[in-house]
Amino acid sequence: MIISQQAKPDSQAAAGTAETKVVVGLEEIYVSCDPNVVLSCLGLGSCVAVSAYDAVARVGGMAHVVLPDDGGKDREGSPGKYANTGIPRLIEGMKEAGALKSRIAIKIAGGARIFGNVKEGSLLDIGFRNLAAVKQAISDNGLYLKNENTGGSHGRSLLLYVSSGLTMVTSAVKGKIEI
Amino acid sequence: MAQVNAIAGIETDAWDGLIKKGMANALKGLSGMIGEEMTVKSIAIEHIPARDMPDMLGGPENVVIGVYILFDGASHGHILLAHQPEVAYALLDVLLGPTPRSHRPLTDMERSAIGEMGNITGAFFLNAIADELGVRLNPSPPTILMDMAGAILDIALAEILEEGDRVFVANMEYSIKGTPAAGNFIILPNPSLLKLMPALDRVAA
Repeated sequence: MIISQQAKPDSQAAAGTAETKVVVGLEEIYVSCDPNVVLSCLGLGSCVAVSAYDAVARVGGMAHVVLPDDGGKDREGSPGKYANTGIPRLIEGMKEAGALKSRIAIKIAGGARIFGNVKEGSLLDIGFRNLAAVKQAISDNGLYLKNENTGGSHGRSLLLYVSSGLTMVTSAVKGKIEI
Repeated sequence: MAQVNAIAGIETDAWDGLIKKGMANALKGLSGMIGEEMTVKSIAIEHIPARDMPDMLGGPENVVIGVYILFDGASHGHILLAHQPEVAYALLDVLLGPTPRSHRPLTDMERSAIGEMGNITGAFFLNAIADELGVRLNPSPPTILMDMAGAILDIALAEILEEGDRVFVANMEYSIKGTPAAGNFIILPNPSLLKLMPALDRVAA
């Protein structure tokens, strides 16, 4: 898990552009108030990327959820892995960075059923279960789900520009869209 | 005597030897099917953070054509045969005859041919492993995917991450004679497969 208000330099920044792309990896959480930062979850299949943005404080955050529920186990090391622990932790991080919970808008992407032979809603349908758990956690935590690009059977990436809140989804089959 | 490395109490030299035998057999099967000589460029057997896995296939957004097979029986796990699209098209040219191909959905015939490549490599790998261990390992029908590497790996990683934050992964890169092409053959075993290792001294020797 990574919760930070500091942007990490990467190749794009080194190349002289203003943007610093931060990749939020599997089970990671990242929060930033650096306007140069673009948070991203790349190559999402069954995983769900949860982006959070406070447009007044200009604080952005992202969680890369891998599994629906921690089953009540105490997994201090990786709350971002699960929907039910990752979303509260993401919001905590947003508040620590100056966001107000009432102003936070959530957008989500992912939760695909990459394998067409998996029965809809079955235990193996992890994308479906992740989506349901993420939406439940959003509701349980009193958050506002502003938009989503979810389901289907293709991979996606989600990008959040901290400076503006612009949120983009890209995929190999559907191109690039704003959500 | 071979050095024994400890990962979660597993004698990894025995594990490495077994996997290398299985992978060599898999490549033999694939080479026989395609009718071209193939050479192992490298076999990496590692215990790495799950988040690093997609980098093995060029990064999470890199589009690959993959054949995905689950196996079960004495243990279970995931097998992925993955190629960059241009490599997969070159292999299809060998199997089906030269045809202009581009980044578009595969035809039924192409999917069938790609799936059969996965079937052959998966079955040759599992047979070699199962014979050594004296157990049964059964492959699922192949699933053919053309998508981002991260998306293809998600299901396997999700299952493994339920039990820990690191994955045990074997990745073979191979080259195909007469082409600059290379492919990846990746095994993601459930940790229970590693626990079948105690009788493997003869493999490590």
